[in-house]
Amino acid sequence: MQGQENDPNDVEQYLKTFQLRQVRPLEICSEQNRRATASWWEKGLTTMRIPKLAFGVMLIAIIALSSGLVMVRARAGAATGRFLELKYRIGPSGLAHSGRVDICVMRVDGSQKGNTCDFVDHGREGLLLVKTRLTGKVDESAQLRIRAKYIPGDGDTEVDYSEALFKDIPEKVLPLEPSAKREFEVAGLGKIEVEGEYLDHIPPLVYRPQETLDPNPKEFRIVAPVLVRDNQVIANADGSSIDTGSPDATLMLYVPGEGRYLISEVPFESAVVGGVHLGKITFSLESHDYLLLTSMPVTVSEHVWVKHEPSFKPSEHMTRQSDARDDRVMFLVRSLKTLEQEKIGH
Amino acid sequence: LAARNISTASLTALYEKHGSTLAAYLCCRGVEFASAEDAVQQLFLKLMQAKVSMPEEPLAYLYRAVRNTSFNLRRSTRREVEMNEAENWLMEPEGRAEEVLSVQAALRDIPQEQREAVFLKVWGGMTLQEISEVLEIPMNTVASRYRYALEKLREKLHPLTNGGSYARTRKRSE
Repeated sequence: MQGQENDPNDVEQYLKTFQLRQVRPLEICSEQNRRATASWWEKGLTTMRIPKLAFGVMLIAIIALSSGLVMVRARAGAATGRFLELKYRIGPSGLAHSGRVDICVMRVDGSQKGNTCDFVDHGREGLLLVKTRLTGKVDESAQLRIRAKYIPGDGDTEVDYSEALFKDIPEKVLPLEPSAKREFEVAGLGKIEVEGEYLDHIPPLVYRPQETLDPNPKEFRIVAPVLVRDNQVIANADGSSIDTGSPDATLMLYVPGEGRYLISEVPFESAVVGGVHLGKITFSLESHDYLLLTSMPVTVSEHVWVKHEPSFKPSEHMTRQSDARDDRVMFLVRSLKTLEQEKIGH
Repeated sequence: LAARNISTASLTALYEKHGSTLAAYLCCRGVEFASAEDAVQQLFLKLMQAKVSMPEEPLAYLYRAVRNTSFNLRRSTRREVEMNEAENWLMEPEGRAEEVLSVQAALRDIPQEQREAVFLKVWGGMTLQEISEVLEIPMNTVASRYRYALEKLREKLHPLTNGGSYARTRKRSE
């Protein structure tokens, strides 16, 4: 043993008689590692504890609901911001216009677009045209510049609404505080009182803020009309047009490539009868079923009379340049007598 | 050192040949066997995914890699760095359970630097030069550690080597 004790290799040889514990095969761990490095959705699918169908439906519902919210925001966003509603009240000296209130809304958020506000008041004794623009705003005080023109005559007086109409009329500077009233003079008409109020949206019917859902007996209202023919939308327009006094109030709806449809409260030549129910008008023409939808109840009448004129072109009949376009949907509510004229004013 | 891309098949072969030794080496450095096994598997799988270049003689690289892993494991788990008494990283041949315990106890009692040198020489099958590359120390230092370690182990394992299985092994080999 003496020799053995001095030989370190003996211990080494002895130690070598012991085998090491074996590790498990690499493939087993390989699968585990694949799971560990799998993408998040793979992990989600493999560890999902609810039925995949239920999860899918839930996901679709979330997307649909969130999209809906976005749409609501987008719609509201198109008309939200800071707006100034101006009410123009024509004074006692304003003859037939006396006591009438005209309303318009302009943007006051600093953008150049939309910071003007124009309107035309058709009276029995003349036309009142007012152009207002915002030139500045300090805190809540708005700096307005107004030009107004009164043209004596009847309500159907032909007028060229171009800038030239106002070229001789100086702008009146009018600082306006919210809820404070200011006056300015209009030659030939008298004083007009202006009152302003800030809004955070544009009212659906800007010129008729007091409008109720129920139409009054003399009203014929078309708001954002959609015309459907045999389940196919052929016209979809924004805006509104309301007649409040004509006994033969009529809608003229022009559709590019289709001509115009006249829909009247009264019977007239070559017209077919249609039904009215709140904001829906139904009628049949030329073997087609039509449905006209509007955003508000149209009239208290239960029937309307409808005529289709395929060859009608605004460019040949409309006197106002902005209406004389054949390439876009246009609608107007006026008396039947007005709309049947060769030349149609606004 | 010349480097080359190493295939998955080659890595698998390396794992099969050296995986157990690498895991035991981690145990020798104070890591539990299960953790050591996981660490070695993870190392090889990472190498497969990364498609890294490895030296022509990859063994020293692998040992250095698992050695670094042991540092990380110690940092992350703050576990006791001494060899775990409850863990056997040597197989227990029939009738030699007590010997295994004694050998592991003897190894546990010597300094880690010396233990590493013995492990790499005996079970890693490395030359002193290769061990110096793994441990990144001079070869003379490795030789000293190895010599001191064997002397201590001879002392501790003397009862076993005299008349025990060690003696029987020697006699059979003679």
